[in-house]
Amino acid sequence: MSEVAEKIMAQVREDYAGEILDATTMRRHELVFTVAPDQIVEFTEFVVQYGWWHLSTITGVDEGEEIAILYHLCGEEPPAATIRTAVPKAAARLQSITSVIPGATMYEREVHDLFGVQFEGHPRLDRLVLPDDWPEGVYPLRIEEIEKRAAKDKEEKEENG
Amino acid sequence: MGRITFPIGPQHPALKEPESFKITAEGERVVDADVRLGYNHRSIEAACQHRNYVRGQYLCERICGICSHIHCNTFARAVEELLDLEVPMRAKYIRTIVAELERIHSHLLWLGVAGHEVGFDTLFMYVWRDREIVQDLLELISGNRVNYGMATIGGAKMDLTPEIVSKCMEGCKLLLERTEYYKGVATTEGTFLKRVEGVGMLSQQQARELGAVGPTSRASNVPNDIRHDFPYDAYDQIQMEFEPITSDLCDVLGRTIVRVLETEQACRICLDLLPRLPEGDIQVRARPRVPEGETLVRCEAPRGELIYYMRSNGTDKPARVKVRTPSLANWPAALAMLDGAYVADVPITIASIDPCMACTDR
Repeated sequence: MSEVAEKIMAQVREDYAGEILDATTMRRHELVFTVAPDQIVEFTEFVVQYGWWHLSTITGVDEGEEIAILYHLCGEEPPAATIRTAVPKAAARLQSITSVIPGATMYEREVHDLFGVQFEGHPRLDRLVLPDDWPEGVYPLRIEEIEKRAAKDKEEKEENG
Repeated sequence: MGRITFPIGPQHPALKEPESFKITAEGERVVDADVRLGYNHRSIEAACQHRNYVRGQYLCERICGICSHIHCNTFARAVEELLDLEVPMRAKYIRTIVAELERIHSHLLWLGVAGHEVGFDTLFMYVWRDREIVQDLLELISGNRVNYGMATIGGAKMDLTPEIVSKCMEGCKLLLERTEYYKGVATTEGTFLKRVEGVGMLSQQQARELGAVGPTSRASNVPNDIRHDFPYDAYDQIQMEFEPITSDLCDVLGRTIVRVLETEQACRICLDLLPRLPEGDIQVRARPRVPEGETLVRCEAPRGELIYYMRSNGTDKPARVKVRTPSLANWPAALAMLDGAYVADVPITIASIDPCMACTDR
């Protein structure tokens, strides 16, 4: 980690009034701040004020019991920042950040489609990528779905020789 | 006046790709617009988790048919970061040159399509004729007109011989001349200006808030360019003056001017890098198994910032690959542009973000 990044990281920890659970780096250019799910809107607002105003995207990652949600932000120069939070798979709910960053609409809809995370306060949480006749409650990027499909593919392969 | 809601699509009104728009109009004016994506969803992110890194790279290259190299390159960079692999400088130069040639081809393609959208088919024919120059160069370098397969994990796949370098220099000089001509057309041609001036307005504040990227945001005077802000490959080796190209017009004309000037800039970058191509290997060996880790790489695709998030788990297959293409990032901005537009301007307004549906859906 570069000195500049270290300095900025320490500064963020000092300036933010709420709790930051963890701060680390991902490779050269990225600072990663982990916060609790209920802090997400507040912390995003803080980070935007801090200069990371551009939301690049929101990534969902299935980590078994939990779904990690990563908000990748950047400003005009390195380092960029990633906010990380995790919600339990059984109750995947999170406040929408569209009130802070209106550009988050599409990304939240995508994560909702593929991981089944409910974003509360989103203006229009309709289907974005999945077809209209896709069954309710099936989220294609959750591990169990991926494994189910892999097993089915294998079965079909064997059947067809 | 009564409101009427009507669908446009799933066949796209501007480009021959499937996407559905729900437009609500009051008379001739659009008052609300929504987009329904997913007609082209191929589950590439999920499919990557079933494939090893080498096959995954081939798959990701096929996310987009226009900017395929940038996907191939960014995937390779993500894996290289996870492997802590330093790529030879010659390979970095080659990757950058191919990326810039691809930008030229993509922007010229767009300019032709834009001409077609406003009923200026002469421009379309002219531009696409000149686009053949760069297409020939790409074919000369890689053997292909699309999906060049030039980047590989650990370097570049094919070398540039001195003959290819000199042909590329010639081609870029010729393209510079032609771009000069299009600059004149885009800024002075009356029939073109009448259709694009003041159309599809997107203010600077909107562009920032809605997370627009690439030429779409730069035409609204937001100077974000990953090549400049977060240099990668050989972009930090450029010796000429290199600043993001912006425009404060905030309309379709602004986006046209930005793209034409970027075509010119891309030619100059090629002319800057080609003569200084360093000697050396073009590839280093990469292990098939990637140690556990996660990374995020950004790059500037022809349409804007492209992002790959990758997580590895120690096997030869990635645990998660997330791709966010610039077209997806520009949809909220495109819908904002449609607000208050004439129904007849819907196609050119949508086309002005240079949408790529295959990218958007993945």
